[in-house]
Formats: sequence, structure tokens, C-alpha cells
Amino acid sequence: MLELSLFLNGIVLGLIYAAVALGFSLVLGVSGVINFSHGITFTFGAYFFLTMFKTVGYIPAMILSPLCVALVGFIVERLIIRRVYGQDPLFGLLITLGFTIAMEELIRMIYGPATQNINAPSFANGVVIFGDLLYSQYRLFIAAVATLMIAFAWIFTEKTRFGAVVKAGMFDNEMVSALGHNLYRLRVVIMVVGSFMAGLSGILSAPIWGVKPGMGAAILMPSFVVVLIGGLGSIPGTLIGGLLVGVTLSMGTLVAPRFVDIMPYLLMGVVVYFRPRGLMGQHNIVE
Amino acid sequence: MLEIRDLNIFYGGAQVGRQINMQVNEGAFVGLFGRNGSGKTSLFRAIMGLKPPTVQGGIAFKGREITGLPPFAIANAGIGWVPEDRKIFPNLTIQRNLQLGAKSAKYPSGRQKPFGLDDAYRFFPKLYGLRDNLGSQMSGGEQQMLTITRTMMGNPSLLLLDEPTEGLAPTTARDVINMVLEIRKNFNVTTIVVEQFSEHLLKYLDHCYVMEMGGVIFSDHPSVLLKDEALQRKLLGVG
Repeated sequence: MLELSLFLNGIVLGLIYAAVALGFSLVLGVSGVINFSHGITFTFGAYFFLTMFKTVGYIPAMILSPLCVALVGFIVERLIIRRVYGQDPLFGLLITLGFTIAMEELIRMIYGPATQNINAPSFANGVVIFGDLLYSQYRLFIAAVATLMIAFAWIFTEKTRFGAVVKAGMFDNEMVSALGHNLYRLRVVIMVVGSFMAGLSGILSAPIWGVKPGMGAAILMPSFVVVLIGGLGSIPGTLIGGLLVGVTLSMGTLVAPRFVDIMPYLLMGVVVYFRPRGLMGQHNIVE
Repeated sequence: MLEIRDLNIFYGGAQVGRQINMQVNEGAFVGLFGRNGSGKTSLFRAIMGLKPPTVQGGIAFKGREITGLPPFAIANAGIGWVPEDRKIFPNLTIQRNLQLGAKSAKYPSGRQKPFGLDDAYRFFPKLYGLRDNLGSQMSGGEQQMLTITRTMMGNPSLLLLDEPTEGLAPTTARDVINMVLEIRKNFNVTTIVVEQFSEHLLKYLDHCYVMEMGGVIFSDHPSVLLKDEALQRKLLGVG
């Protein structure tokens, strides 16, 4: 039963990774910017929630906090990321990393360095029993919300005309704008949506892993690995990558607990060796 | 319709266009010839506002200065660009590729009956059967016709065609040119075409420009070019 339980934990973790990685991947795909401030939006989500939920209630805070994070994403795009469009990707990486470090310190100054705990909401604070297996209701709730987010993003890019512009933009920015589509607006929308998803993921994970200033940095690297494994800009790829990394990290503790942290990177190495664009990656603007 | 005044074009420090002057009237079918590297493609990129290159000088479209505008604004002002390398989106279906060419209702086409999906399928019937296939699954000629119809979906009043028949078999090349002529007949779109010199194409043109080393060295009616054998030899690269 331990194996099954760890496997399920891995799936839940993987869905969170995938939901965070999606925004990262879409921003990189459409704008060519390696947005390292994406991790801090995950942190912001949790802290906004921590600040709000006692006054406005659990569910309203769960909706309001990601909206605030989306606003942060909007401001970051306007003030910071916009400056590095079309430049060496290293510029974007450095400027957003600098911003992230500054914001993390700011959070530490305001809230302190300690991990703060949030309880799971009362409606999902129990266990579900499947035969011999007891499983946390809250983890199932996370899985459901993360799946919904990913499904929404997938339907949006596959089935709408705006989504078609996003996909086309990943292949060729220039042609998309020469056909009359405003690439600047497209990039802002992607940034806002990606931040919203990361913010909501931060809230979802808070009752399990706690709220701490470094939580964003802790999820950024696995997300980056997920994007590289899944293939830039591919939503199914990101989902598969997320699940692979999540399950590897979770099940890896059974096999070699001391080496578990390195496993996603080994997995990435193997995938990229055989498929340099990742499992489902296609030619894209970053190349 | 399009007026280019003393345009200089640069790629970094290298100048690829020198003092270019052009005047294209509404409805005209204009040919732009010149050997590889003479600056034709750079001129199209400059008109579309694509970077690189950078430009100095003036480009006015329908009496409005468009130099310095971003490409999407220039496209929405009514200029359609069909690039040399076609740039089909391989990750989208053919129908999505076409729809991507259409503009939002904010930019009226100015036509009584705008060019729509049904027109794309009328001018290029094979597309209809392929509409749910991915853009990557097409031959060169099909890709070219898809690119032209995709750009037409935006209902441009000026169409810039960059070497539409490059790399195509002669019969396919003729199909492409015939499609352009058909579209022009039905939609009266002003057209500038960059092509290899060919007498076949010349008879449809209203005006010809020849570029060399980034400058315009000839601007006249095609019949004058037909008589100028020295210039023709230069264009064909013989002698």
C-alpha cells in the first residue's frame, strides 16, 4: 500500500509541477524569455492567500490571491520582461532571477523566514478510503484543481483562435505579427495566465508543504526540468513531463532515498539525449 | 498607394538598400527584379516594419507614414506579406493557418465582399480536402498557395509576394502565378512581386523595377525592359 500511496503522491506532485511549468513553458515559447520570476509567483500566491484567507474566507481567498498574482505578472511583464524581448535569453534569465531574489528577501522581511502552516480547507480535511488505502482528501482536491487548470489551458490553446495565435507564435513570432496579430498583447496575456496558474498552484500546495519564502525557488528548477523533458510549449508534453518528474521524486524514495533529488536531472539527461526538443517539442523560436 | 522616398536600409553596419524611391499606384501589378542579394527581400522586410533591418527615409501607405510602426500595425493598415520561405505554421491545421490570416473585425477589409475561407477554397480547391491536416504535410507548391491565400484572408489592399515560384516545378510555378492573377482579377489587390526574370510574367505587369547593389537601377514599363537586352542578360546572370 505504501507504493500505491507514494505513486499517488507522485501524481499529485506531478500535476502541480505541470501546472507551474505550463506558464513557464508558454512564456518561453511565445516570448523567448526564460522567466525565472515564475517561481516567485508561486510564492506570492501562497503569501497572498496566507494574508487574505482569515478575513475573506478560504474559497474567496483562493480565487482572489491568484488574481493578485496575475496582476503581479502583468506588472513584471510591463516593467521588466518587456525590456529583454528579442535579446539574448541570458538577459531575461538574469533580470528575472535578480527580481526573484529581491522579492524573496522582501517576503522574508515582511513575513519572516519561518515556514507557516495553513490547514487544508474543512471540506477536504479528511481521508478517502479505497479498500486498504487511506488517502488524503486534500491531495485529491489538488489533483482535481490542477487537472482542471491544465485541461483549461489545453482546450484554450487547441480549440480557440487565440490559442492558434499562441501556437503559431511559438513557431514564428515574425510571421504572426506580419499577419496583423499584436504580439505584445499576446505576450502580456500569456504572462498573466501563467502567473495566475502558478499562483493558484502555490496556494494548493501550501497546506501540504507549508508557506516559506524559498518555496518558489524550490519549484522553479523541477518546473524547468519538466519543460525540458516535455518539450517547449507542448501542453501534453508538459503534463507527461510533470507526471514523470513527480512520480520519479516520490517513488525514488523507495529505491534510493539519498539520491532522489538528482533523479529528475538524470531523467532529463536521458530524454534530452534521445530527443533534444523533449518528448513532444517541435521547432520553436528559441532555437 | 505606396510611396517610398529616399529609403536606406541597414543590417547592422552594412547598407543593403540605397536611396530607394518607388511609387506604386492603386491596382497596379508591379514586378521587382534583381539578382540575389540586390536588396529585394530587405526592401519587403523594411516595408513590413520587420526587424532587422533598420531603415532611414520614408515609407507612406495610402498617404500615411508607416515607417517605424510595428509589423502588426502595418499589416492591419492593409499590407499583406507573403515571405520567400512561406512560413506555414506546421503545428496548426491548414484551416487554422488560413484563419490566422484573418484580421479582427476592427480592421474592415474595405471590400464589398471580403476574401474569406470560401474564397481560399475556391481559388485552391485542394485545400478543402486537406483542411484538417497539419501544415507540415504539404508539398512546396501547396505551401506556396496556402501562404498566398492565408495572407489574402487578411484582405490586404497591397500584397507583397516574395519569390512565390522559387523552387517549384515549372507547371506548379505556372499554377501559382495563375492563382495570383485570378485573385487579382477578383479582388483588385495592388501587388508587388519579387521574381526571377521571366518573359511570361512580364506581360501581366504594369510596371517594373530592377534593383542592383541595394539601389533601383531601372523603373519603367515592362515593354522597355523587354527591349533592353543588356539589362535582361544582367538579370539572368549571363554575361
